[in-house]
Amino acid sequence: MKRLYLDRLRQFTAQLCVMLCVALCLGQLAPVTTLAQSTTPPAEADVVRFLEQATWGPTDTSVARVQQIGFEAWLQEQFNAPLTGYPNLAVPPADRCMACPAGSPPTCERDLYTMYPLQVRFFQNALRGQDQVRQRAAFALHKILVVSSNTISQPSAMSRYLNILFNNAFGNYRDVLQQITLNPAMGDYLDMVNNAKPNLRTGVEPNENYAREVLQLFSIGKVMLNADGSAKRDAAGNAIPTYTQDTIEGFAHTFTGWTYAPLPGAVSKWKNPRNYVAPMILYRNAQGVDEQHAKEAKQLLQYPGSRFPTLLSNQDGEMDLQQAIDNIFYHPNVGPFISLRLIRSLVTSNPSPAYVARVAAKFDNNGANMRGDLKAVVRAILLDAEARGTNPTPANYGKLREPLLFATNVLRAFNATSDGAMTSSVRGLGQSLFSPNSVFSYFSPEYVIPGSGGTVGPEFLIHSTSTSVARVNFVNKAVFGRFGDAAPNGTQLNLDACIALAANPNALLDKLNKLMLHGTMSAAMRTEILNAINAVNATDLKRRAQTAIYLVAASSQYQVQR
Amino acid sequence: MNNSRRNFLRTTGCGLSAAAALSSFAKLETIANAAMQEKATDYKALVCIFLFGGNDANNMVIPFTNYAAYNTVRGSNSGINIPQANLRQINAPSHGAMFGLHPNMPDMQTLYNQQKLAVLCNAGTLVRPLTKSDFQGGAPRPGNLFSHDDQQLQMQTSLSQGPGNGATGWGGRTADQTNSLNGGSFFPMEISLSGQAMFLNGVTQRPLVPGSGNGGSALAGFSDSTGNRARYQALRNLMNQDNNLTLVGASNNVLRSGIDNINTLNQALNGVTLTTPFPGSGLGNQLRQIAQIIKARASIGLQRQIFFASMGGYDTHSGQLASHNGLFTELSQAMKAFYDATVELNIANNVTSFTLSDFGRTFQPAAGAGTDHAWGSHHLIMGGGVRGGDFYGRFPNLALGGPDDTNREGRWIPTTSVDQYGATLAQWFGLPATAVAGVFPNLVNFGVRNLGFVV
Repeated sequence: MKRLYLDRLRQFTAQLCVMLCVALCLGQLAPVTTLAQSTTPPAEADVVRFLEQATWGPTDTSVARVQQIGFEAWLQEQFNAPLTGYPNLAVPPADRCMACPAGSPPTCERDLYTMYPLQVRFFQNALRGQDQVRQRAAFALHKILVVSSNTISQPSAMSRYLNILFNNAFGNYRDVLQQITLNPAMGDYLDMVNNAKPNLRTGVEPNENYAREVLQLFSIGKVMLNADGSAKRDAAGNAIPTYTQDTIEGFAHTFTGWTYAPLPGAVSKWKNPRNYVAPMILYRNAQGVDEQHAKEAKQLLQYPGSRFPTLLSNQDGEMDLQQAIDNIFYHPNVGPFISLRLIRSLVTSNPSPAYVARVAAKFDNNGANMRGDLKAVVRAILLDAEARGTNPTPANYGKLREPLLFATNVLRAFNATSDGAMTSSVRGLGQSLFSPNSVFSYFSPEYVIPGSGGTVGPEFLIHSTSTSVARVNFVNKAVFGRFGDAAPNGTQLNLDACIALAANPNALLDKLNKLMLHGTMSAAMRTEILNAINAVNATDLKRRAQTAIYLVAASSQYQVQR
Repeated sequence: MNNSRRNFLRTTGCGLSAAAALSSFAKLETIANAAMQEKATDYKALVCIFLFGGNDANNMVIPFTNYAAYNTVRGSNSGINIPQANLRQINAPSHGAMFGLHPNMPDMQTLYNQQKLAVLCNAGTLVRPLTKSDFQGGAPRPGNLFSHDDQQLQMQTSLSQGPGNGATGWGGRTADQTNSLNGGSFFPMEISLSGQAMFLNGVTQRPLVPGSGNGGSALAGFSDSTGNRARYQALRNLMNQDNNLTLVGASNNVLRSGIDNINTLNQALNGVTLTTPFPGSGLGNQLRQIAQIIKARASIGLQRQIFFASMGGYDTHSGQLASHNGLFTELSQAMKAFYDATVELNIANNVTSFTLSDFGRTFQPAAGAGTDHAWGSHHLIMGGGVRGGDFYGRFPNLALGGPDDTNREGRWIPTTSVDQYGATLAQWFGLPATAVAGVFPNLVNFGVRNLGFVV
């Protein structure tokens, strides 16, 4: 039964894939030729689903726009939308008392020394920014290439790290890897900055932190992958490691000799003072020699067709770095590894292997012989047959909305006015914006739900008995109250459109069903909510609207994006 | 049983009463049916303190008599040296030598000298006992050594082959096999003060994860009115609508347990106070909450409980000395306060606390005055039932490239497995001898099944 279903799905997706491939390849040549424009307008439910995957939440306006111009044209609009991003904050004095002397308002330290200004900007961007797809892609990259403010607490450092992800969200993954490797916030976070060659006098070895995590978490993972993201097996059925401890040590030696860029006007030295503004530099002495860089040959990743599997001895540190990044970037794992993570961030926790393979193929070759084109990858993810349609059938399809996405979906659905100060309210749901616990991110992309028979559900790692109740209480506050101060500050939903419909409970539920559940509200669910609406005094239209919105938003049917 | 039923009825009288009681009565029936086994007459609790990041226990427990072996590698030029004069000296009769605890652990020294604290040497993940020549010859070893997430899971699951899909933790499996000692109380016997933890996932048992404070925030916004009663009933009913969708069902399960149990816990903890002062640190707050829950054990009707608490920050790749000063201060002070609280509650002999961590760290220092990921590590076991004041297992030879080193950076091959460590604790807790092999499937590969550090 299951096999039959899968076979049908495969046939179906194969046909659709051909259609899509034709459309996309044509799109490469002539951007006006698109799938959407060559067919009838997309179904409303599919449009809402698409916007759940591609934005911080559907709105009446965005639904109408996609219905008007179609998926492909809308994506083109998004690719060209003006960037929001983050302000490149000035670096405040190290001495807080100098910047914020006694008598300064309490906002002084908050704005100069904490993540607050960036967190506010995050919500302002998410609620009002036009570059929604870029924001979602950049945030998905942040969850892969993690710097956490629990170590890097300076907002001027974090803003530049975040902007690399923003600026390259539709760029090339090799640029992401290189710029992140030399980003001083990352250098400080994972100890590449001031990492020195082996010191025979003290017996100190090069630091392995960045070497290990750039492989394990940022690019290839621990085991060799098939093109569809599944683990390769040897003859005995065992997974095949991508690297050994020797490889880690090879990369650790490669990543030696780099320090902060000298501060403006200062002479460079080994171990320059903190500089979070400019990329790290390879330290050179007065003779131009990179004397803190380990000069012996280094063994890097070995794979079929391996680029630079060994770095020659006595190479310049800059060349070592370029070759090492090529060695990583051309590893066959990168496509399926990154594609699977991006699919899980945007569409579904349990994609079919074929879906992963189709996206990974785009990573490997965007159609114009370019590897690592993230724009092509994002487009492939969102326009794939497994992402589109009005009613996906696999029981394990979809994803639990992570707290940030859950919050922005609720706020955007009801045109919230907001000053952006929402971080503390979402932290209570288990996700602390820009401050994941460790380089292992807010939650593991591979987390399996206990007792589920192997269903992957990354967001369930932070979905506990307390945070699940906190989500419902978040809805309570959003619907029956507000976050923070009264308007024009704070954050308030606008329920007017729903109140206007509340005299006709079925019409109200039709609207909520469309905008929040893309038409999937079951008859049983409708009956439950109608009963609750009808228990409210018929003249209290606001309370009736609130009751309906509360129940939809609090339901697991809504918490899970399908 | 009577106790938990009475408590259940009491806690439903909280404003939501009609709907809450209605929806939970079906559950009570199930519980009554399951309550066939003998309820224990004594109380016991296990408290796991997980040190996330991989604790460098090489600087937590240092040879004093043989300080030269330490100083050869971690001397004053190493960036991570702890001077001999600053060590908190303790005697290890099993090793015929003096050792020193980290200078910021005076409270642990006190408990050790009172024989309420033991040290387990060089424990970690293993498939079977492993010598250096075995290791170099390619003998079976745990998957993905030196990787944080894998080693955390293996330490929590006791499945060094790699836990795989549907894995359970050894705490959870122990709970599966001992929950009958609770006589059918429906309240979860496992509580995590530190989010979801694989350690506590059993086949049937799942942890409650309260919020901070007491039980955590209960459902808000249901002051009594006709409309609110109907809305609450609808919310409950929607939690039963999975539509055969896996993720929706999983989300409903979590929320249902939260709504059912957090209220109960808050009621049980109402007015429960301790006279023992706790430090206001992260671990201090978690352990204080655990002590309060233990004090309230009668009203939630439990005789066996397993807790999970944790600290982060142990991934000391750089700046280790300064980091450790804070970390070990917090760990030592919080553990001591917790022990004192169990004395206050007159159950010190019934509560055993123990540390786990991802792995130990390289004995050779890394650039930036830190250390890198390694393998075997030392652990602390605390409680009135602990045969403290001594070391268990074998302290490693600290020579780089020596007999305990995988290679040349000081990654110790464990000489005691987490399976042996866990099985010792679980047997004390009440895991029947017949169930030990099922909970710790690799234990069969090790000669000693009980390390004897707790009775």
